Amino acid sequence: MEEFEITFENVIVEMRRGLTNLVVLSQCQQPAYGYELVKSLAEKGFQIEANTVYPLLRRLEKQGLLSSDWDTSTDKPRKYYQISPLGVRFYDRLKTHWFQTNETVTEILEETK
Amino acid sequence: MKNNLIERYIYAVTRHMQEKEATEISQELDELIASMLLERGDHPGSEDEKIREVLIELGSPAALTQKYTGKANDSLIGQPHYSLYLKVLKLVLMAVAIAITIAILVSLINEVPSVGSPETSSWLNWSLNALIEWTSSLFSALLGGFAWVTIIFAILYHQGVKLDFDVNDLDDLPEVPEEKARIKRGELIAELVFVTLFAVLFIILPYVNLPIIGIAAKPIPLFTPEVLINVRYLLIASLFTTILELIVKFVDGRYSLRVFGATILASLFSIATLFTWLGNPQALNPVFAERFQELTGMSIYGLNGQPISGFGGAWAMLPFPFLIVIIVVTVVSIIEIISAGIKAFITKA
Repeated sequence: MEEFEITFENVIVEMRRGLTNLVVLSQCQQPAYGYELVKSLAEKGFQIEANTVYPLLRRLEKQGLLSSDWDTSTDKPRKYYQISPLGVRFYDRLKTHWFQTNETVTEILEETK
Repeated sequence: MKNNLIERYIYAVTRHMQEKEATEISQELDELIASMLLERGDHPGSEDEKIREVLIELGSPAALTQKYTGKANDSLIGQPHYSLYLKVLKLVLMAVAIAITIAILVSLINEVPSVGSPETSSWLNWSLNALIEWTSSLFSALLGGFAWVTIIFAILYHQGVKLDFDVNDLDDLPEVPEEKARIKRGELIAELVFVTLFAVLFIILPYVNLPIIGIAAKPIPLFTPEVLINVRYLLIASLFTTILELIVKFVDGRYSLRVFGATILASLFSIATLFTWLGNPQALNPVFAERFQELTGMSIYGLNGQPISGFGGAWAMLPFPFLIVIIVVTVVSIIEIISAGIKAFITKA
């Protein structure tokens, strides 16, 4: 059973890898900081670990899809991320692609019910 | 004051990053850990326990570093370059080992104790010396070969240089070579060994070149070192064109038009080198010529000292074996060019 679980977990990780990009971009329409994203997504039922979100935010910023700003007005400085114009284009395309894929996959799975 | 454990954790994550990146990521992690601790404000347990809990949740520092810095090409040499790298490395190391072994033996012949020496100790010394020389030269040559191949492939990989088998268009996929047009691995190894040996004996060790033993008190080089040194630029050019030919042969694996072109270039340089070098009447060590005459009663120049008919000028009095070598090598080179051309065009048709 052990191997079954490991294989299952691996497939889930693979499936979520691309989706995480999509979901994180969706939550950056307004400035947001990393831990806030972790919590708000968890509340919505999308569990994602902080140690995944932070490196991902940096990577998306490097790719020009997000921009960032440090808010130093409080005693706890925080880095806020927000989607860039390029990110908006990217997000829209990715979203359309996801809806299409979702529909197709659902149809296929429904067929074999 | 910041907790020492948090500082140590962040340091462990960022210590090998570039300074700017490390500073930014430190600040981010600091913020993250503070947020996570705030979240646990009303949880039971001491501050230290909460910190440990948070850091355990974040995972090992190495894993977090990997998440931050992980790239697709974070290896020294990745695929598809790696497979070719292994093939080339094996070939080069094998050729280097064989060539160095032969070259060391040849260069040590100079120090062979006089033939029939009754002193066992001098033979023992020679053998010991040979063993030490061989081990150390082999070690440094293999290390050098390994380093060069690795550096070249690492650069090719990180520059994203496409190799022959990376094709974007299906029509660009190379033809499966016909048996006749296929270049055998053994052929390449033999050529590589020959080229390495040639370079060591004639370019690196011109004063030793081919030592002849048994005809004088000490081994004498067959070729005049000064003449070899005079033609060294041609020898080097010839060496490079031959290496180029070998590389193209190795990459293509079959007689292609590129192999044909490279063969022509390498052959032309070899022939030019041969004509300039062996075509020089002084190329043969005069000491050797003298001893040859004393031992056989015949002159090695011309036809037993007489000009060879059909050849003019200095060529009529060239050492006869040299003339034969020049003619044979030239004919063989021409046949090689023609055969490479036929194989390239036949398989293309």
